Amino acid sequence: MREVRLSVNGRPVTARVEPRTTLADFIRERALLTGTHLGCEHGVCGACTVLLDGVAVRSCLLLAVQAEGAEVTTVEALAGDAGLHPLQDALHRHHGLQCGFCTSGILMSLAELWPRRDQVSRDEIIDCLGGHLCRCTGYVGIVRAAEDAFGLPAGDRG
Amino acid sequence: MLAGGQSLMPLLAFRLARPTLLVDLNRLGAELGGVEAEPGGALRIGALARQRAVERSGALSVLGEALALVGHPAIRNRGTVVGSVCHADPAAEVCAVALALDGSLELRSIRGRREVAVDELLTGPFSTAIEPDELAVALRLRPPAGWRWRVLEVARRAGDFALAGVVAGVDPAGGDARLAVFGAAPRPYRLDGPPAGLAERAAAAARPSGDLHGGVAYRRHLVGVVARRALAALGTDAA
Ligand SMILES: Cc1cc2nc3c(=O)[nH]c(=O)nc-3n(C[C@H](O)[C@H](O)[C@H](O)COP(=O)(O)OP(=O)(O)OC[C@H]3O[C@@H](n4cnc5c(N)ncnc54)[C@H](O)[C@@H]3O)c2cc1C
Ligand code: FES
Ligand code: FES
Repeated sequence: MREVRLSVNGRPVTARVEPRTTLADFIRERALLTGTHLGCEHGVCGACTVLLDGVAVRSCLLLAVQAEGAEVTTVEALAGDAGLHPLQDALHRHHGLQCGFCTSGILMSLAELWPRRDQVSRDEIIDCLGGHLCRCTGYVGIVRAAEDAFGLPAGDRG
Repeated sequence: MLAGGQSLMPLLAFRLARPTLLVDLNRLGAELGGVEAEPGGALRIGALARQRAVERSGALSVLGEALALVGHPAIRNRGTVVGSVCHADPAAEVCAVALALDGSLELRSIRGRREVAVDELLTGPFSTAIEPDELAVALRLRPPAGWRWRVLEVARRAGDFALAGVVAGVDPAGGDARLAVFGAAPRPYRLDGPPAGLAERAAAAARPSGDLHGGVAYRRHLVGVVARRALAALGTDAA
């Protein structure tokens, strides 16, 4: 067992874990934040995506010990006192989610782009969303929501 | 050895790899993260240079073009260029670029340092000539002056591994070309020569394995298609 200290959404979290514990399990079982979802646990589905020092990563492919000292941002950090984050609000308005399993990962991948939202192109959004599997929506609403949130015109592929 | 973990962590999750000792390189970013242009035109990519950083750096456009086809942005945020070569996936875009650009891997161990050409390094699917005690510290690429390049692949979905793909290059005069084919044999392979007939040679040399994503004949056919398209896009009259 190893002691791991890191910060999740600005809150310090310290826990003793086995070295093989993934960051995803650490977030869910030690930080007790279950908005980060686990689908495939091998990097393909994107549900577990979080920000590690501002960079979107698969938390199922990282060990918690590797995140020692890092700042981890999860979906719980997005909504504030003022209500939903603009990305969440856009997904809501465009029916970009049904069961919501994939949604937190999608939000975190888009959240990586949010700080430079003025320069983000449609191609970049599509590339980003391409890393996420959604079994419900057929993606059309998700793409529309992202276009809307980033101030891009709706593309002809829906 | 754990670099970006984008191949090794899935292998661990599936229990396909069961190492007794795992060494994490990730705290060595300051020592191993650099990308430098060397005198003589070579590019040296440190073992912890992330795929996404190299893609965005514009250091080498053919490599950037290839990296854009590797997985997804969140995968490339962690995955390393050198790790992709060490992993030796037959469908890896980076291995094919390294082969096309006379790449070599700089290996270190307590026994010393050696430089191994990527062509000798790749011994088969997921296997290399790297010894268990060796650490790859950098990949060296040697782009020939003035050549233009294209990377083209066919995959089931964006970000998936290629069913067949090619790194194609042509010299400034248009008389000499290179192809490095990936996803179509136990390891990537290279063909050099005049553009005419090169795509046909590439298809004839393919040794694809069939799986549920595509049969042998289809994949061999795809090699010819992507090779012809890439050479045509480079303005040669290969078609
Ligand atoms: C969803 C998904 C999609 C992907 N799609 C593609 C794709 O389309 N094309 C593609 O090419 N790849 C793809 N990959 C794999 C990805 O590119 C990996 O990043 C890459 O194959 C390995 O790099 P890494 O830094 O993550 O290495 P790791 O996973 O950390 O290591 C891989 C192997 O190389 C060894 N190794 C790594 N670095 C060194 C070193 N410096 N010295 C000695 N040995 C070392 C490790 O011990 C291990 O055996 C995908 C991965 C995922 C999860
Ligand atoms: S659970 Fe991590 S990518 Fe699917
Ligand atoms: S909303 Fe159900 S998986 Fe995407």
